[in-house]
Amino acid sequence: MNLLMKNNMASKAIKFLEEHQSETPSRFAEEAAWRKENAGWLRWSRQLAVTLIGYMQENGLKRADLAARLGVSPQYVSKLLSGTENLSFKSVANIEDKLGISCFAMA
Amino acid sequence: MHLDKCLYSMKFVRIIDGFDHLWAVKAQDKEADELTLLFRNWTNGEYLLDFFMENMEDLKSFFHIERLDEAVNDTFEDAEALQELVLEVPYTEHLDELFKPLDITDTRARELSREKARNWNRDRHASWLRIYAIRLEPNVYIVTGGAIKLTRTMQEREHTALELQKLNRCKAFLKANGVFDQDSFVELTNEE
Repeated sequence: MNLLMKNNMASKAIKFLEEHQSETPSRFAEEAAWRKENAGWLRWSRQLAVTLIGYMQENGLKRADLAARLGVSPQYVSKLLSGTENLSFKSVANIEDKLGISCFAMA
Repeated sequence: MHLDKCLYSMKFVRIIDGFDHLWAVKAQDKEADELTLLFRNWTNGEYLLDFFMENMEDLKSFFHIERLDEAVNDTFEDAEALQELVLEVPYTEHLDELFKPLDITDTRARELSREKARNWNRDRHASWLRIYAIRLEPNVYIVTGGAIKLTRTMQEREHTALELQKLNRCKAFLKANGVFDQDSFVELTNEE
């Protein structure tokens, strides 16, 4: 296959995709950029989520059980488990106190 | 969705402005395109918890992992690495290095072949994250979806079998609309 043919075919394919383009643009690049920009605190949020998931499995807890132990709503537990919540030190300390765990392993 | 219906309804989005190589399917009934949705799920601990709880036996059988926190943490790390690959590769126009043919039938003729991408150099265990795409041309791909693949074949589980259907549906749509067919190939060949 020579270069001319490749170019003709590529332009045909791209033209087709542009003709069938959604009005809703992709948000992948934007959201990926956000994740990269916020990687520092997201790392801590994800570690907290992972710690809670381990705690739930070790203790045979469901979301509702965890919510009851923490004294929070199931919706708040969902946020904690997502690993995308920007929590305050006070909130983290409260979780650690209620569950008797350490959310962040010391290096 | 019936094939006839999807032949008229399939829409696409360009992933990175100004670059033609990477596209994704945008289903009308979904909020975002397939690639965006994949990474939203793979970076959401609650989604991952639900997924691995549902697929715990596969996690144990195929990867010998029994802890949900380990599976979720591995996925967070792997998704981050794969995101970097996807973001970086299109700019270099070397997408063929990221995607590989899905199976032997897709290696024979790579026009409209079904392809998969993953983090090919992962430590600890092989990556279970897959991005599925149709290869239109050299370095030009349409992402149709993706999956956390814990089993050997896609047919073994419902969620991966669905992704296979999505690949085949997209390929059928492109073929039905003449994006690539034998006639255009011959026509271009005859122009030589």
